[in-house]
Amino acid sequence: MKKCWWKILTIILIIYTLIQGFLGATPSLPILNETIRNLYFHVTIWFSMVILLFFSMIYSIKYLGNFNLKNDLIANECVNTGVFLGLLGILTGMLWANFTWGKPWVNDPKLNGAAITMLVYLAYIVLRSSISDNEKTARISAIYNIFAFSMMLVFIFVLPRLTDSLHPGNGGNPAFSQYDLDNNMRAVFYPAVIGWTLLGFWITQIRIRIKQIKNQLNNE
Amino acid sequence: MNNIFYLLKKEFQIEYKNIYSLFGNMLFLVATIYLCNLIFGEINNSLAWNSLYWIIVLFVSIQFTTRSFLNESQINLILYYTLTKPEYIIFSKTIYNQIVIIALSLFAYLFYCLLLGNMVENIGLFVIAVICGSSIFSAILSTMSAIAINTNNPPALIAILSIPLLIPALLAITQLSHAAIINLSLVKTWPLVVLLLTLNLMNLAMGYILFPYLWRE
Repeated sequence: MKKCWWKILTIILIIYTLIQGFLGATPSLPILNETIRNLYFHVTIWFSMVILLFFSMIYSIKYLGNFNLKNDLIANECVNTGVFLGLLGILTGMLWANFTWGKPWVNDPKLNGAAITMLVYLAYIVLRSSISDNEKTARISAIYNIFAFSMMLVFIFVLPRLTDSLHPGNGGNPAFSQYDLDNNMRAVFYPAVIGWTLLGFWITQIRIRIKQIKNQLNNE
Repeated sequence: MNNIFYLLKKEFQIEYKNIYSLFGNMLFLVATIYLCNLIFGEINNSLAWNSLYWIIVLFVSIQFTTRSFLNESQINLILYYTLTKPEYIIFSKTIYNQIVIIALSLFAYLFYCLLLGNMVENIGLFVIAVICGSSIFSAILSTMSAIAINTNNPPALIAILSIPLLIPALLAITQLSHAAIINLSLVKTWPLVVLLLTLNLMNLAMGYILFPYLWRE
């Protein structure tokens, strides 16, 4: 019971997000209208993806420090969950774009950053599967992971700032901080970020345990 | 510094011994550009001219750097391991790849002009774009080829690993060389040059930090 308090918290936060996200009061803004509710899903899922990938990089650095295979397992599963969340983020984003910009995909620096991030991490998964030796897989994928994360920071946070973008916060579009002024939304947004992140960690934990059991069965 | 110089010299000597593989890359360039000439006839659109050129250069660079580690036998690698530091090896490989990629892309430019017509008005800026581009190509591709030799299928893996990482750099490079085509001055394009140099430094630093871990077996 003591150890699973955060799982209960996850369930409460996600139920809260879902109820508030679909039923709660939102400011009525032009163009966005009711689609602003997607803020609780699209933006927060992306936040939790970045957090998970960050953890993955930390564990990759740890692996290169002490060569303990458990760190590699954690790093790998964090990436798997992160990629899953990233795909969800892209899907919800496309849904949103379809209603506000009229098309599911437009050529926009932020969207390109997201797409490139997905490609880089999918390449990470391909890289892992194409090396046969366990130790070698761990070492080489850790190196690529650190490389990939530092490049991802450039793609998502630096490059879009340099060019004009349709995305909120750029080029005169309504910015994130403008919604933030609405305290109602803030009260849902931050719990939602925590909720999705914890859910990501929960999925990762279960997957790590499954892998560990499989490894043990293989050894016997 | 002396170490890097000797390693570079060794790279050139090996290349001179196996000069046919460099000719292979040049033949690839010639054949691809000729193919483009046959398909397109003449290109009037500067955007198409520019993007076609960079795509050709990208693929020839990938093809060239694939063998920078692949050609080294296991015994050679162990020999380097005992003789020098891994940082020197990645630097010498990067510098060497950069020099050859610059040469290859300039050669590609000449041949491209011959067959598809010259559209560049500001040649100085274009050369700057080529130098920036090739240094980023070689920084990323050298590290990725060092990663890819450990896998089952190096030539495919190097393309999969490096193309996503190269996209942002490539976007900036094509913008820079398009500026050279429509004859903008360097003053207006300096943010792009600064961006490319920062990206380049970052990649070099990552290679410098991470390569020693790749090296230990």
